[in-house]
Parts: sequence; structure tokens; C-alpha cells
Amino acid sequence: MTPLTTNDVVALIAVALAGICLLANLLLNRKRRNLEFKKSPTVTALLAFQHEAAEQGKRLTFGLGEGFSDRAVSIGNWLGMSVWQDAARRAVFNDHPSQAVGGSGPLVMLSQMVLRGVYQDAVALELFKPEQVLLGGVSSAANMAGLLPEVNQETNQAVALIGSFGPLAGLAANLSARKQLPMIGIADTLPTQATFFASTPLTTLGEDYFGAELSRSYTANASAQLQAQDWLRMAAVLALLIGALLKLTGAIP
Amino acid sequence: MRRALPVIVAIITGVFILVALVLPVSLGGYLSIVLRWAIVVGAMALLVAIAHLFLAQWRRLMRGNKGSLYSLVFVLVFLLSLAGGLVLGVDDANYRLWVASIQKPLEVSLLGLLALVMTSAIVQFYRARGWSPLTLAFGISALVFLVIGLGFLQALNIVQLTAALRVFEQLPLIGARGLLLGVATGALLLGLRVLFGLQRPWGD
Repeated sequence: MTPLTTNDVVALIAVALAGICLLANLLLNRKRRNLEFKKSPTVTALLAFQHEAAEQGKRLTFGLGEGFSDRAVSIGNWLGMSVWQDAARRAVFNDHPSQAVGGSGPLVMLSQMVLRGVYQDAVALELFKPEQVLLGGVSSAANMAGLLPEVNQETNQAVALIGSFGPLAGLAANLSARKQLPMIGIADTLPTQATFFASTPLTTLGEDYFGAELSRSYTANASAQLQAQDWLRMAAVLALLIGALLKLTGAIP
Repeated sequence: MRRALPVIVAIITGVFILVALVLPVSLGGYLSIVLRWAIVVGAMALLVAIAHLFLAQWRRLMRGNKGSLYSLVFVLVFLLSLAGGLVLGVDDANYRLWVASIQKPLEVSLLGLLALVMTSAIVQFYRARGWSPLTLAFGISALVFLVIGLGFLQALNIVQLTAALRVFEQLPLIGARGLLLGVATGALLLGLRVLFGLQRPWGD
């Protein structure tokens, strides 16, 4: 193991600062009673689609991203799993429960465990089918090749792609548009955010990705994250301004 | 307790990895061991997921549903690839050629298709989203930076124009950095919430 570099030290300071901001906001939010509610229209639309799916005897199809693989080592996949878990919970007794496709083994296995827990909590374990979460493939292209046939199913009411995706997710967006299925595209990578922005009106940009969870289940600690995010953003702006000033004055090379 | 145990294990592991990154000299060796465990568990999960995918396709094939031809192709190619890997070994040149012959055409054709799809998406973009300052700025900037990216203007070799283009080329990077800062802070905070058990996507 090599010793810490300057970048590592800066990263550790950022982690410590983030921890302090989060803790401070958690403590502040505990005392507050009227918390601000910031709804993401993209995730609220998902709820509406779910109601329509239940009424019409159809299903929602989820793409959970490329998961915890070497292609997409992203914590953002947790968020997709949270939203999907909530959707699966609402669809336990539907004619067609939600279908999900993941792009890595660990993500698929974790999602299956989550799904089993959902059915166990609903005392309906006999309705649980492991096929509700499938591995799309172990590369970006293979994952998309596995996801596209699921998007193409006639029983779909809407499609939701939430997680770490590559720009190839644009193909799923195009297919759902051709099938006249509404699609929600929430990704944490910039090229895919741009692809979704051009492909579907129901998408998020930048850090709004992390606000998606708040619309799903509003909790004090989710709210604390958003406020801490604002604080960190201000700290980053300040640091950039000070850095620019120091550079202009020649204090730093 | 059954539900608390995985959370406790996850928190201890996460905190250990964070501390090991801070103290690489004293804990670096242990970090490698823990990461190797994670790789083994991840690989096992992948094997189970692949077996599960195979079984799902097999069941579809047996039911004879619409599209079962694709399941047949999947099952045959999977079994051939598996047998090839077991007999020849994964480092065999012929086996690697076999895998590449499946993977590369798939990737290239999907990327080619994506280029066409994105071109048509831009045409339909305004119909879907309507005219607004944001969509207008998106369209104009996409067009401008596409033209700049082609390199024809740089080839004119006009000193002032080249200098101006160099400044323009920085603009997308500035925007991307702004968005990336937001994404990074969000990911950092979400990571801390998962680390300290405040966020449990695997169940409440």
C-alpha cells in the first residue's frame, strides 16, 4: 500500500466535512417539525404510472443499472434499488408485479433478496418469483441486450431506468418511445443524463438524482442529506473562488 | 437481531475500509484481504445470477412462448461458451476469439444503432419538450460544439479564431465540472448515510 498523496488528503477532508454537514443537519432536522418537502416530478410520475398499471392489469419494468461492477462502481445504484423496492412493495398483489433487470451479479442478487423481503413482509411469500429480477448481461451492451426484450413486452405500462447506466440506455428510451410507453430516466453519469434529457421529459439533471429518493419516502435523514448537499455546494463555490483569487494574486503557482 | 446483523456487519466493514484508507501503512495488508473477500463474494453472486438467467431462459424455452427462439439461441450459445471455457480454458486464444466474436459485433451494432437513435431523438426533442430557454440552449450548444468538434474551423489556421475556439472548447468542461461537483457531493453524502446505517436500501 502506498502512503497518502495530496489528493487523498483533500478527499479525506471532503469526507470529514461531508460527515460534519450531515451530522449537523440531522441534529437540526430532529428539532424542526415543518420540514420542507421537495418533490421530484419524475419520481411522483412513477407513482402515477404504478396506479395506472394496477388498474389496467399491466406492469412496470425497471432497469436497475450496471450495478456494482468494474464498469460502474457507483453508490448511486442504491438509490435505484430503494425506488424499485418501494414500487415492488406496492405491486405485490398486482396481476403483473414489477419486473427488473440488473447489469451485475451482486446487484441482481441483492435485488432478489430485497424482493423476497418485500413479499415476506406482505405475508405473501408464495407469490415471490425470482424471475422478477433478471441479470441482463455482464457488459454494458449485454445488459442492454437483456433489457430491451423486457421493455418490448406488451404487458408494460411504463419503463423506469434508475441507476448507473451508460449512454446505450438511449436505446431503451427510444424503444419505449416507439412503443408509446412513458419512460423515467434517472442516471448518475453525465453522458447518460444528457442522453435521457434528449430522449424523455421525465429525467433529472446533476445532483437532482439524489433528490429522487426524497419523493419516494420523505424522512428526516433524506432531508438532512439534501441540506448538507447545499452546504457542501456552497463550500465548493467558496473554495473555487478563493482558489481563483489566490491564483490571480500569484499566491499559488 | 436477524435484521440488525447485516447492518452491523456492513457498518463495521465500511468504517474499516475508510480507516484503512486513512492508515494505509498499518492497515493496508488487511484491506487487501477484505477486498479479496468482497471479490470472491461478488464473483459467487455473479455465478448465481448467471445460473438464474440460464434457468429463466430455459423455462421460457420449455413453455414455448412467443420469442422462445431467442431463448433457444441463448441456451445453445451459453452452453457452447461454457463448454469451451471448461475444456479449453479462459486464456485459450481460440476461446477468446469465440467470445470476442459474440461480444464485439453486439457492441458495435448497438453503438451504431445508438448513433442513429440519438440523431432521431434530437429531431423529436422539441416536439417532446417544447420550446423553452433550456431546450433552446441545449439545441444551440449541441450544434455549436458539434461544429467546433469537427475541426474544420481549426483547420482554417486563423490565429484569432483558433484562440477563440480554444476558449469555447472549455465551456462544456466548465458545465460538466459544475454538474460533477453536485453529483460527487450527493454520492459522498449517500455513501456516508449507507455507511452509518441511515440508509438501508436492502430493507427497513
